[in-house]
Amino acid sequence: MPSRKLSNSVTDGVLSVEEGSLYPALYRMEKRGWIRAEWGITDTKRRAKFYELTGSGRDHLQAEQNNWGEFSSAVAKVLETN
Amino acid sequence: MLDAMRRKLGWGRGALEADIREEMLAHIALCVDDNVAAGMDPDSARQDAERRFGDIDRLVGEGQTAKRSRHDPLGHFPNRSDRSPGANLMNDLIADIRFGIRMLWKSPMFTFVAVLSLAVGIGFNVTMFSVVDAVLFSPFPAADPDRVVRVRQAGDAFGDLLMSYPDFVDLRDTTETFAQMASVRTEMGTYNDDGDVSFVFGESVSANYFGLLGRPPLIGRTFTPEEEIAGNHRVIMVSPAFWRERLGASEDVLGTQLAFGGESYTLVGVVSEEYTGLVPPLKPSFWVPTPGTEDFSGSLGATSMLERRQSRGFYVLGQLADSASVEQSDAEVQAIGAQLAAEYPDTNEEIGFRAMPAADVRIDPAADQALLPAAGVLMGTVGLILLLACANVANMMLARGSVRRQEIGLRMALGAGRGRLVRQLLTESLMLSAIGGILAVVIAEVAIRLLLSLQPPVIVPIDLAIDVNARVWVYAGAVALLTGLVFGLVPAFRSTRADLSQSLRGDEASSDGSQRGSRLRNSLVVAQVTLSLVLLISAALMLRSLQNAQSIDPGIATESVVNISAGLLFQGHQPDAARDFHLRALDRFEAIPGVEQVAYAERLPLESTITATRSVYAEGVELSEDEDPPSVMTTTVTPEYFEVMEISIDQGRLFDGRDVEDAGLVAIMNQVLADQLWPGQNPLGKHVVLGVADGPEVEVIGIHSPHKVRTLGEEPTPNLYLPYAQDTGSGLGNMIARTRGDAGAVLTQMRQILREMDPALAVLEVETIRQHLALSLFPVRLSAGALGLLGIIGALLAAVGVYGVVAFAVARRTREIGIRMAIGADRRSVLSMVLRQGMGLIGIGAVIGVAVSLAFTRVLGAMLYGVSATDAFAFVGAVLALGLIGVIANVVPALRAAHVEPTSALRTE
Repeated sequence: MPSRKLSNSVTDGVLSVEEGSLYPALYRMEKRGWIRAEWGITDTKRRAKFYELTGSGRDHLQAEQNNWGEFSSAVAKVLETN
Repeated sequence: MLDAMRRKLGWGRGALEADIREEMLAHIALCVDDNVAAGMDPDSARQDAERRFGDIDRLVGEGQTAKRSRHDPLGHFPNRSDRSPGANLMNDLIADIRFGIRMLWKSPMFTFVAVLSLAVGIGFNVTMFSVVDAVLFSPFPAADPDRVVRVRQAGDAFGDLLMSYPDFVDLRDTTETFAQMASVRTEMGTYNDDGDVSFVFGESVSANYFGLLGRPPLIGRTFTPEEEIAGNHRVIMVSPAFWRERLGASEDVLGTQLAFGGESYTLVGVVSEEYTGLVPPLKPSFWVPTPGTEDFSGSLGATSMLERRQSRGFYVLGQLADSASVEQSDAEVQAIGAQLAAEYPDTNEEIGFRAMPAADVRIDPAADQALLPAAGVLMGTVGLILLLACANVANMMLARGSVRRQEIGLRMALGAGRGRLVRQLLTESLMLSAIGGILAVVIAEVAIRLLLSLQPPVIVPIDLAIDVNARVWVYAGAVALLTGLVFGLVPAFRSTRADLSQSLRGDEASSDGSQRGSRLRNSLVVAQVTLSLVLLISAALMLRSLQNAQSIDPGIATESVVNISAGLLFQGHQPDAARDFHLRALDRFEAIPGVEQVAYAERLPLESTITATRSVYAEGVELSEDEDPPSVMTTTVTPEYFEVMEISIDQGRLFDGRDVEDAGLVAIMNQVLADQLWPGQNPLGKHVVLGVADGPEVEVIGIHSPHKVRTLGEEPTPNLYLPYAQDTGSGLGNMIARTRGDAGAVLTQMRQILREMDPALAVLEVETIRQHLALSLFPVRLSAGALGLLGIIGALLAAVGVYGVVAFAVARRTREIGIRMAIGADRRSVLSMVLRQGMGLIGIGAVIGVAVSLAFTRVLGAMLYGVSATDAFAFVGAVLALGLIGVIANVVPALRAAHVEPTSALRTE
C-alpha cells in the first residue's frame, strides 16, 4: 500500500509531523531489510511506490513491540507508586 | 537530459536523487487527488498537500543520506540520524545548552555564586596577565622584528643596554653587517599648551628610526637626515593619543608650532598606532630628532651629551644586512668595541659591545632576569586564588550533583549513555565558566583602569600601555575553558558513576563521598580559610598602622605651610641660574598678603620620591680598610627654613649672613648623626667631609631638633642641612611659605608669580604641608587597600567553600539526619552537629592561618607605623571577622538540616 496511507493509518493522525519526514525512515528500514519496496500503479492510475514488510521486518516488529510493552508497563508502575 | 540518462543507466547521485524525488512528488500528487476529491479547488489542494509534506528539497537530501549511510547508531528517530555526525553533535550541543540554561536558571543562587566566584578568580588572573603581558610579552615594536638587533655594552648589569652617542656614531660608520643603525634616547620634557605646562615622556631618535622599524607614520611624515643636524632639528612627531587628546585629532595641526622643552617645534607627523615606545610599558607622547635631546637634558654640563663618550644614555638598534646573521653582527661589534677601547682608553677601556636579537630584550636584560621570576610569583598567587575559586565551584557542583542524582538516574534509566550525560554536565560547567570568563574581562577592564588611575606620587604622569588586547582575550578564554574542565570533570564523572538502582532509591549515603574525596574537599576549604585569614590579618595590620601613622608627630610644622616646586634643574636651568630664580621668586612671594615667612629647601622631609645620600667622613675618625663611611641625606636650605618648618636649633647657631659662598663651609646636623660620628663628644666646631674623602671640610655649627627624615615610621635617622648660599644641591627645589588665612589663595598667587617669571616653566607640586604628609602615607594606604580587598574576596571565597562542603554533607546525610530525628534527636542537636563540622574546618584553617601570619607579617614590618607585626588587636579582629563569615556560611545548610522532616527523609524521596 502507498506509504501515505500507511502513515495515516498507523498513527490515527495523532502525530502531526511533516509527512515527508516519513521517507528517510522508510529508507532506513528498507536498508535494514525490514521492508521492501517497488514501483506500482495506484487505483487512480498514478505511479507510486509500494512498501511491504519482509520476514525479518515482521520479527523485528514483534521484538520491538515486546520491548515497548515492558518499558511502558515499567513506567506505568513508577508513575503509580508516586 | 543528463539526468534522464543517469536514471536510465541507474547509477550515480542523480539517479538516486531522481528516484526519491519522484516518489515524494507521487506522494504529493496523491494528496492533491484526495483533497480535490474532498471538494477543494485544485490550487489550494496543491498548497495544502505541499505544506503538509514539508520542504521537499531538504527531505530529498535526508532521504539520500538515509539510503547511503551504512549504519545509524543513534536509532530510529529520523530527525537525528538523518544528519551527519557533525550536525548531530551540534544538535546535541544546542540541546545541552538549552537544557543547561534551564538548569542554571532554576537555581539562580547557585548560578550567581558560582559565576561570581569564577569571575573574581579569572578576573584577578586576567588583570595580572594584562600587566605581565604589557611588560614581558608585548612583541618588539618592529614590523619585522627578526631582522632587528640591539647593540649593547658587553656586561650584564642594569643599564648596560645604554651606549654613548660617539660610540654609536663610530659603530654606525664602521659596520658592514648592518644595513642601517638607529639610536633612541628616552626624554622627559615639558609641553606648554598656551600657559598650561605639563611634563611628558618622549624619545629622541635618529631620522631613520621609524624606517628601520618599518612603522610609517599615521599621518604626516617622519624625520629627514637634514633634521638630524643641530639647528635644523626643531621638528616633532607626537603619539596618536597625544594627537587625539591634546590636538583635537585634526590633520590641520600638521605644520603648526608646539612648545616643547622651552623651544618651539614644528609638528610634522603622528607616529604609527603600532609603535608605543621602546621601553615597555612606558608610552612616550612625543619624538624629536637626536639633537633635540639637548633641549630636554640641558642640566648635564657644558659639553654636549652627543660628544661625551662617557655619557651613556642611548639605545642602539641595527637592521641586519641581507647577507648577515646575528652571530656575524655580534662578532663585528665585538671587534669594533675592542678597537674603540684601544683608541679611547680613558672612557672605553672596560667597555665591550655585543649584539643580540631585539626580540630577546624586554626592558633590560638585567631587569628581565628579575622580572620573570617576579611575574611567576604574581601569576602563581593569582593562580592559587583561581584554584580556590575552582575548588569552590566544584564543591558546589558536587553538592548539587547529589541533589540531582535522581534526575540523572532517571535519565540513565531511560537510556542516556554515560558519555552523553557527562557531556551534558560538562556543558553546564563550561557555560558557567564562559559567563565567568566574560565577566572576568569586564572586571579586568575596571581593575586596569583603577590601576592606571592610581598615580604614584611622581612628578610625570605615567602613561602605561596596559590594556585588554587580543592576547589577553585568548588567555581569558583558555583559562575559562581550563577552569570549566577542572571544576566540571570530577563532579560530572562522580554524579554519573552512581549505581542506577541506588540512586533511584535515593540512597545517598553510599553513592558518593568516598573518604578520599571528602578529605580533599575539606583540605581545600582549610587552605582557603588559611589564605584568607593571612590576607585579612595583613589588611588589619595595615589599617591599624595607617591609624597610628596619622597620630605620629613628624617633628615639623603640620599646619599653615604651603609648598610650590618647579624642578628647575630638571627643566634645563643651570644650578646657579636656578638659585637666582628661586631667591627672586621668594622675594616676590614674601609680598603676597597672607604670607608670613618664606624659605627654600632642596627637598622636604618625608619626600618619598627623590632621596640622595652622601658619605660623611668625620674629623678624627680613621676608617679601617674595609669599612664604609656612614651615609647621610643632605638638604640645602635657606636660614628661614628652620623657622617656617618649626625646627629649632638645640645647640650652636643657625645659618646666617656670615655663611656665604666664599666663607668657610658650615652644616647643621641632628643628634643622631652627631652620636654616630663622635659618640659622647661635643660635635660643635668639629669638621666633616662630604661625598668624596678628599673634598672640602665642612664645620658643624649647630644641632637641630629631631624630626622624621624619610618616613613616619623610621628609626632615628641621621640628617644634615647645608646653607643654600654655599651649596646649590641637586634636588627638585621647594619654595615654602608660612601663611595665615586662605592657603589656597596664597598658592594661586605663588603659581601666578612663577608663570610671570617664566611662562615656559612647568610647576610640579602645589600643596599644603598637610597634603605633603598625606602623600608620604601613599604606600601604606595603597597596601592597606589592596590587602583589604584581597582579604575580603578571599574570605568570601572561603565562605562559599565552607557553604559548599557543609551543604554537600547535609544533602548526603539527609537520611541519617532523618533517622536521628526519628529516634529522638531534636533540632538543636542536629543544628549543632552540622555546625560543628563546618566550624571545625574553619577552626583548623584559623589556627594554621594565625601561624602562617605570624611568620608572614614580619615582612610587612618596614611598612608598619607603631604597630607590632604580631598586634593582638589585628589578629583577634581578623579571626573574629572570619569566624562571623564562617558562621553565616554554616547556618544556612545547618538550618536546612534541622528542618528535615524525618518521615520524608526516610521515605527516600
